[in-house]
Amino acid sequence: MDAIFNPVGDAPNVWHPADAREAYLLKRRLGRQAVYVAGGTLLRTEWEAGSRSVSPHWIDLQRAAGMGEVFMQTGGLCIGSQVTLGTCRKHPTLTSLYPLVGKAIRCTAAPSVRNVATLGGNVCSGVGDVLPSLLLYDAELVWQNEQGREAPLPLREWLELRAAGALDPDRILLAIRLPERADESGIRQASGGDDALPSLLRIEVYHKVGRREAFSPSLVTTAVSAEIDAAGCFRQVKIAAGGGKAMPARLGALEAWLVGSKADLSRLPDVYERVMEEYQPAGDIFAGESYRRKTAASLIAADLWQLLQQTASEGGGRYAEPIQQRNALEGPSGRPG
Amino acid sequence: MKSETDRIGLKPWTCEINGGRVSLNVSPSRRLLDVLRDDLGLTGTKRSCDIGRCGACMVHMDGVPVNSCLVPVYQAEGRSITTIEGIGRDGLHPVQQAFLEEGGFQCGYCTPGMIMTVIALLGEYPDPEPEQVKEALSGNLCRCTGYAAILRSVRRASERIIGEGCGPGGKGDACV
Repeated sequence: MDAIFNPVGDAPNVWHPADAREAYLLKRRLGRQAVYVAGGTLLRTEWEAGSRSVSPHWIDLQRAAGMGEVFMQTGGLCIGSQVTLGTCRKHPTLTSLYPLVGKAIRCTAAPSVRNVATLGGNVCSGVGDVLPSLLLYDAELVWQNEQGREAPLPLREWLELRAAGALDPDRILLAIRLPERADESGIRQASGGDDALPSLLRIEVYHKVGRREAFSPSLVTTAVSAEIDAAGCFRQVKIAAGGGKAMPARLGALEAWLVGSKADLSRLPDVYERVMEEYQPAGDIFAGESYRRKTAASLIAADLWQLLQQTASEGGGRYAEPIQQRNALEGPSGRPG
Repeated sequence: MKSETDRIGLKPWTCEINGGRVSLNVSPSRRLLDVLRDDLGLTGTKRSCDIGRCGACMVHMDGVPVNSCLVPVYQAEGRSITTIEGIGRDGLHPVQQAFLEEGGFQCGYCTPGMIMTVIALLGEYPDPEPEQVKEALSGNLCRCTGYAAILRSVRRASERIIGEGCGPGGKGDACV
């Protein structure tokens, strides 16, 4: 292990463990005096803002072996936690099979930040804007503890345990796994039984609403995936929402209410109300919870409305175009002058 | 017994900067921005927001743009860094020329960062779509010029680069 011993200087010590286990043991030894550093972009922001004190020991994860690759494996795609957002954004397999992850990354920070920031860092923040898209694809997390690699844990479950403070804070995220999808187009032909009816139309949409059009902290993020089958019913409905300091979460009650129900416009007011009830935003002095609830409800209802409109006008067979990031404030460019 | 250098937390650090090998004793947690400006005198890289929002400190690390205020120097160990001083050494780069011709700057403080971002963009996409330009420049703020002139500069630089065969693999004079 390569480390710097700095008993008198003010500068933090930087440690370069060879692998995740060594990093874990080091963190255990140094305790709260140490912090894991991946890309370090969020940490730097927090240090400069004074919202977090600079730790005297930094444990560099980027040089640790085994966390920097993207590869297909049995059951899906595995993304090492130290892969940068920039690499993810341009990865052909990732962006074609899981397009909302690519869309969400495009809406996260700016390219120069994404060339340093990692997907693992975005996940471990617990509020990263990529999380709703990962939730939509039922992502799993692979962790390292003292004994070794743990069994994959659903992201959804990890977020809940994290919120409850029920996790070992020293564990290291090794990889994010995305379960295999049926095909690249996202339009899946059912194989039999009750699923014998083919899906007519599918929509996959990610939204981020911030104060600027680009490179802005989120107020609300939503991700929606839904299909309407030949019988005119919703199926395969997945909806996630987050934004700001809110814990991203799937809106499971709304999903269950929609699946199998007749897909018509009369349901949309109920969709709006159910999002208002189920989505748990975190308001602040600039944007309260009520505003954020209304925003999320409007976006999700509008996505389903778009799906219904296309079903009515075209009869299906098309992949609905995802909508890009929207700006909370009206303006021609969304850029400060 | 530790040397004085070790005692105060310095460590040998080597990387390539603007084509030349640089070796220093630095604290690995220092920001690349500070080492470039304070230790190496490369003050064309500007300090502004300190949190990766404005793009004034943009440099290339192994050919891709990064905010040097966000990069601790240990992350740059052994890498290739290009600053604005490494651009257009044998005459103005086409992107610099385009910014001059189109008035793509006013006070000029953001301009080195803008230039570095646009060079990286046009290196990857010599004829970028408007959305690609918008995305690439989303991390570069200008508070006085206005973006219209900057966008015109990008377009003119693109035309010049394409005209001189400076796309990927190009060998024109403006490719430097």
